[in-house]
Amino acid sequence: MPDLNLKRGISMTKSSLKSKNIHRLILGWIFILPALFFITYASVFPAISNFILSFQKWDGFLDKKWVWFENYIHFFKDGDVLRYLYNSVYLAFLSTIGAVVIGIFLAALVFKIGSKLGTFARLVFFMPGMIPVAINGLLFVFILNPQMGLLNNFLKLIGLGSYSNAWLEDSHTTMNCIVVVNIWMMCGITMVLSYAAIRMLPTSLFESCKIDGGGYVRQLFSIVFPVIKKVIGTAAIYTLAANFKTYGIVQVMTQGGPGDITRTIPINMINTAFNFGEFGYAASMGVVLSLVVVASILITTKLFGGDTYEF
Amino acid sequence: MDTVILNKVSLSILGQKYIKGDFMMLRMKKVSLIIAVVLCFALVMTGCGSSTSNTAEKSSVASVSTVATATAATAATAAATAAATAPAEKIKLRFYGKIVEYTSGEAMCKALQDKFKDKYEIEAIQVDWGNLEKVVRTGIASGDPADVYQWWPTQLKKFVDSKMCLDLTPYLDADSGAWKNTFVPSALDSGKYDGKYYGLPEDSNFAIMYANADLFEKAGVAIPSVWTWDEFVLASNAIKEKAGVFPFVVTSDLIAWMPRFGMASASMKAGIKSEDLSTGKVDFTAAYFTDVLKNIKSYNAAGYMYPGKGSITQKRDEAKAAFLQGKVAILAEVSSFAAVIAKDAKFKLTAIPWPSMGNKSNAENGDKSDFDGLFVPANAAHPDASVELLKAFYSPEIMKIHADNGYAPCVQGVEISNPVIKSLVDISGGMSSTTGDPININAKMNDYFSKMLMADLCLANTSEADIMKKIAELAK
Repeated sequence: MPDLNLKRGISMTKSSLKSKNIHRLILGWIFILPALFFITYASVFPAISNFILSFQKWDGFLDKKWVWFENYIHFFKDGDVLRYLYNSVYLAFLSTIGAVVIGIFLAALVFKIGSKLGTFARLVFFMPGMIPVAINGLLFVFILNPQMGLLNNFLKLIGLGSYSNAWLEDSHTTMNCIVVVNIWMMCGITMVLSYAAIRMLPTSLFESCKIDGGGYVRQLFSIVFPVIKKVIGTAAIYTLAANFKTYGIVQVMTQGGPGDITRTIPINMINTAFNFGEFGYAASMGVVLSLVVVASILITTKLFGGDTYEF
Repeated sequence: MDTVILNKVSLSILGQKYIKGDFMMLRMKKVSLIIAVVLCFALVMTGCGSSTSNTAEKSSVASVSTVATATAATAATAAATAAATAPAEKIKLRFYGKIVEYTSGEAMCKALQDKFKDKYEIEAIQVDWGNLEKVVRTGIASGDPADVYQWWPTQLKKFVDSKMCLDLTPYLDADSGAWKNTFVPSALDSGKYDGKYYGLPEDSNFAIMYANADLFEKAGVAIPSVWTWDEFVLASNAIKEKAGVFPFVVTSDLIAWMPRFGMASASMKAGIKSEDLSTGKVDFTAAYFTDVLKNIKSYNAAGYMYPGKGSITQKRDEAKAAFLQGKVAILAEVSSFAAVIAKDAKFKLTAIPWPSMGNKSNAENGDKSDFDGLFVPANAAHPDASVELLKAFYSPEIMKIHADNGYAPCVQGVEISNPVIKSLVDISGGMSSTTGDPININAKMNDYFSKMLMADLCLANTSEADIMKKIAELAK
């Protein structure tokens, strides 16, 4: 009798678990499928299609011709395009370094000034990232205007009029102006992530450092930054990837000019594909840039790798 | 006791579950692999499909082209048949020609929509000037283009060469050229390539200089009807010295006019044929071309261009604001903005032609008349309906709206009452739509002139000879 009950129990439990598993599996697929479909349709297919296109010659209208590595050979022989690649790397790395460093220190400041004022400060510092890129770009175009701009007029006001400049025309300042705007827009993300990570740290860590005579700066460099290093790494990777793809801010502020001083690979890709009708060559630029981005992310991951702390 | 046993059983079942889990993982891997293979297969099929669709598209283009190049009678019959057998369900047409920058744009499209409200559902799409070429190319390449596109008839050659435009000749010639005769002949010819009409002119729109006549008077400079570059430089110097303002402003998107018109007028003086300049069959390293660049460079270096530093990167709003505030005496702009500028100017405004670097004569100084216009893509879904749309758009009723808003239409029989527009029409009368223009050589040349040349010349201090060498390279 007990044996029969046991068998029945086993059989019921088996069938119930099996049905639960199937149910969970179906439910999982139902949740995943829409996203999977859209991501595949909007990202995976175009990426693969772009890769295939990079070995072809196509003017966007007539038949495609296979040219294999011709586009890539052209890329590495084209001094202008290599300069645009350098511009992309320069813009991405400098913007990321600036955004991450400033973002971390903003997080440390916000953490220090307390919860009420800190909430307000967080909102203010994060706001540039929420404003559309076009508005941010136009805002700085007005600020940097040589005649009517705030910056030059401010310099004149404080007696430094000789330093006023055509910021978006001078080859020495144009790219750096875009870097500054990028930093302004992106530092909020690092700030929010770092702030959340700092908030997670146990107060005992700060107290023990305080007992040992460490001030806030010491606490930051000896405890906070090493412990939240992985979070900073995540912010850095996100910022780096976003900055490599930068198209909007350059387009709004300079359109890659004056001349081609601030032209980056994404800007040149659009130009090459849609103005020159060289879709295959533009695709090869996209592939090379993607490889550079992947390599940069791997390096960044390595830099920010290390021990995981548990509290 | 039972509970304990059950617990043990549960554990063993859990053990089985894990084993099953592994099995499930294997199945999942297989399923994933199958999905991946199917995806790749689909992709390959998509690739093959695209080639097939391209072929289909080409044949469709060819067939449309064949239909379009058929005899005038056939086309006329087709148009008449299309009109007579209008389908019960309204055809959707996309009219990519709503110019919101023109005060007449909205009203003209509304009138067009009203005219066909029982027959067609017309979607009037705003022209995105900054991305116009991308929009046109991608639209046509997608196989689902708009039914009518905005494009300058004089710059249609690259699309004609790529077989992207519908030949409108049969439609224009039908009924003994009834429709053709409604256009100003010289304007209509601007969209003619190899004897066939592909683009239709909408209004005269050409490069012009708007002058603040009060500042000219203050500087003691007479308003010129035609002038040479040297006279322009002398006038600029007088304006700067006596009126105390910047003589000239041109925006970054129009600044290429300086070398383009300079080269056109210089080449005319040198006896070069217009088409040779437009096709690159000239010696770009010749002295008269490098002199053009020297003139421009020294003009900018003399500080005549607003606002001194930053003169190469002026935005349109900034330049217009500076001109209207009286900070600049001459504004380079298109003629179609005449009514808008005249409305905002608080001073005596007048239009003057570009200075010539060649002969001092309107017809021979390289001034180039240009036109806004429309064309039908070769693979438009409803070519006859598209042409019907164009006929209505170019009717005197709709063009009257354009003229009333201060634009000079290219259709005959439209009354022009605005005196500023009449003066522009007079200036355009002395111009040629076939003036040579190096930007027509190819897209890369266009890009170099539009975005790079002035920066190379005035900011990077590249020598004139090196720039001309680069232009010669691009012309190959």
